[in-house]
Amino acid sequence: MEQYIRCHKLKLSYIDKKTIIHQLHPASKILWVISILIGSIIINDPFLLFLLFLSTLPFVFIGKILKEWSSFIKLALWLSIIIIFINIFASQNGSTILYTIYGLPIIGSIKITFESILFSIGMSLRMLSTISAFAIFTLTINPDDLLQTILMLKFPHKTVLTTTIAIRFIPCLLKDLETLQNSVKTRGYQMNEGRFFRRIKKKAILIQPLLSNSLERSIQSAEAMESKGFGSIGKKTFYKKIQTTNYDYFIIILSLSLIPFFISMWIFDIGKYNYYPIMDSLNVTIPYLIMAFIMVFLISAPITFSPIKKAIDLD
Amino acid sequence: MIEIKNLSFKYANSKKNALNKITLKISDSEFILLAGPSGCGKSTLCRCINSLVPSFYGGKISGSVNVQNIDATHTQTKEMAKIVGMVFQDPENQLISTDVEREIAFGLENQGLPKTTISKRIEEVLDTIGIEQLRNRQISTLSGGEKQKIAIASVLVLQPEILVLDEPTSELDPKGAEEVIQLVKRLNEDFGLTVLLSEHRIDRVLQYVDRIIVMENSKISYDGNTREWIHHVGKTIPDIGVPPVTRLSVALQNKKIESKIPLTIKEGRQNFSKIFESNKFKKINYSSNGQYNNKPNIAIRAKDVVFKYPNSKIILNGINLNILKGEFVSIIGRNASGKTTLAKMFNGLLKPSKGNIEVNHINTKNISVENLSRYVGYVFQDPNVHLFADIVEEEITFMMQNLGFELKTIEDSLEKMLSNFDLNYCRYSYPRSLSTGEKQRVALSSILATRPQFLILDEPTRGLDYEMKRNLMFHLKSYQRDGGTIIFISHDIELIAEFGERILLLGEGKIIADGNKHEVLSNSLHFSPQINRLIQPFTKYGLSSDILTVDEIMKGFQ
Repeated sequence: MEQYIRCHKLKLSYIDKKTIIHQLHPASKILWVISILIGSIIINDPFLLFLLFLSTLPFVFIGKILKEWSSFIKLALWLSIIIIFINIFASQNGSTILYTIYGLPIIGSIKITFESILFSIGMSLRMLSTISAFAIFTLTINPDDLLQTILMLKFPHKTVLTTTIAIRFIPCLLKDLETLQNSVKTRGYQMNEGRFFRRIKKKAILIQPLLSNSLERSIQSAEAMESKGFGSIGKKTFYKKIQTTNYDYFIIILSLSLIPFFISMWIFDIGKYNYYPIMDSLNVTIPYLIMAFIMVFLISAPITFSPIKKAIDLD
Repeated sequence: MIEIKNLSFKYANSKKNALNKITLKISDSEFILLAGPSGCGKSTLCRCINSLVPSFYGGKISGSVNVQNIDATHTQTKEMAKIVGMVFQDPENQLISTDVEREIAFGLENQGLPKTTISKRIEEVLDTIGIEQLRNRQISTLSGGEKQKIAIASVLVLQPEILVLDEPTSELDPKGAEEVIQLVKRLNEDFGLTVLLSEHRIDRVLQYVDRIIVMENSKISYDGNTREWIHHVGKTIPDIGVPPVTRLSVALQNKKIESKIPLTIKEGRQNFSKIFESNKFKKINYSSNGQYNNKPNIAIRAKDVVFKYPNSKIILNGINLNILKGEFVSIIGRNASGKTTLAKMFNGLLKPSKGNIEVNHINTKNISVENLSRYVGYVFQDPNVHLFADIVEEEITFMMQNLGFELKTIEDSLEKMLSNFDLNYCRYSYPRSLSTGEKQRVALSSILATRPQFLILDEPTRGLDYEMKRNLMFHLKSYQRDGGTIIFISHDIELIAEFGERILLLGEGKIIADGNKHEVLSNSLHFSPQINRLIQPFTKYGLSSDILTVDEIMKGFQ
């Protein structure tokens, strides 16, 4: 049973669930991810970052990928905890001192400040929204379509080769990980014993075989692609046509308008936020709220408007 | 036509030549078997023909490779793709796309052919190979054999004149392997495709090929007709994986009974009928030899075991079973009959959904896999899964250290394992750089070093040639003599017929048959070894109908 649950958690590869999100053209999805990435870089404000994260959620529900998406987010949350933990001790900025640890060798004392806690939470929110967007992207994109799209966009062959191999191997890697874990377990290796850091250290034993397996696998794939004439000079045809629907144009227009929108936010100082030395208070003005609303709308609009979907279906 | 002259090749980071002065000529429409131990240079030679060596791998090459009047050593692989179709060992990693049609279209897309041509060629190839029913499937849902057929289709669609296959069956189960070989044979016969097939299981293909090329130590040691080759290597045949009927004819020859060399059962019956008619046989009834009745210690007990994953069908359905101390139990059965699931129950990797499994009177539900590993050793199918350490020595001591053995014991055990498994020469080597057979020995020794009471092996012989298999069985038998209990999952009926004892036949999650190998394996179409099928019409001359091996026939001679 335990085995099964772990198996299930690892089902992170693409499954065609035939939703609108799955049927979007890879190019529109790439654009969408890029626009969110830009937003998460420009915005500093923890509240807006949180909103950014939340506005990716409708895609998860409409795409029916909640389970798979959650496992990505769970991983991101673990990473956040580590980041927060390290930042609290490492960053000595900020003026609201909550606690000071004295008498440490060499460094003397460490102060824990309210600002550093909040800063790291802000950074984690930024990471969460990017990871959420990427998770939606990888879970709903057909690897073949993606390969074809980046070929059509005239990326160099080596780049395409590397991307394909990387995307294809995520599920293989996870399968390997499971087998290797079983293998060390059956050889009496206590992997889940001891404190957090000890466990991580114990798990490190899996890294080397995992990497060697992936390396062997990518060589084999590259060899096979080469043997079928990949990278021949001259024009390449595409046997299957990737369908574009009006829905794609809709997403493209929204994503394209998101980019100038984020830039204007940056120009008007909305979403700018200082954590150090003293946190800014959240300056909730009317323009701020309007901008926040527009942002949420632009990102999640495609989904909340079921009438549009109907109109498109009739089309 | 392929013409190789004085070809030598050395990989960039290697000291030794991978190919050494190879000279070879292959005419059109020949079906050639390339045989030899692993690491002999078979794969490298295959790769020379479509110029993956040297254009993909790099290295030092001398001599010439001429393929249909094209100098392959100076041509890019992607250009050779139109003439040479290459199929690799691993069914998974050579497929690029996620659905079947796209995979087949891949090579044509690269050549920039118009869409209509692509559609037409895909139709043709689907029909030629007989895989129309797979066209809309996702590749991840296919079996290994089906994947390998798609791989063949995806190169055949480029209409090559030569098909090169590098151990295409070594990752497949016998049924998948048989299908792939049949397909290759048909392509050769019906379409005149030149085929170069590298294969470690010689017995599978010997009957189909026109010519055999044997490689040893980077050189060609034999090149010629298959039957002449068997005659040529006659005395050493017990070490080479020829079909059992062929081995029988050699064994008879050693007894000064001459016969023509057969490669199939049909030929065997024709060639041997006179011999069996004119000789007298002792009637030995093997089935009644109750070997395991005098070992009353129950080591593993399964009671009403049911296993299913949530939301899936039942995998094990009411298994009741006792395994006694010191037994050699082979588990056979179709794919997905529950063999591996059952084996994983015995070491606690899976726990029964209903019912109980007791190992040494401990219920597996009450003990962790890690702690159970003190009693139960588990050998995975792929030896790579076992290799974690930087050097062989560390690999062997890894498990002993995990289980907290004393330093003195560890050192003694290490030395013993190194010499028992003949690993002294590579004790400081990087385990992953070893050959398949060596890897398997390292994996096995690392587990046996802890002296477990039980040893479970999940298809340990896949990818091994005959000599390596015999070597493995030798080690297993000696472990059994020291009091160990073995659970051996395998598809390899011939091997089990020779070395097995008790056999469990699983089907649809149930035990269909359980008994002595002579009872279970004789008189069945699918699960009988070749010799047993061969002798059925000869039982009227006094041969017992449950004979399974060449040795048993020879013993019966009076």
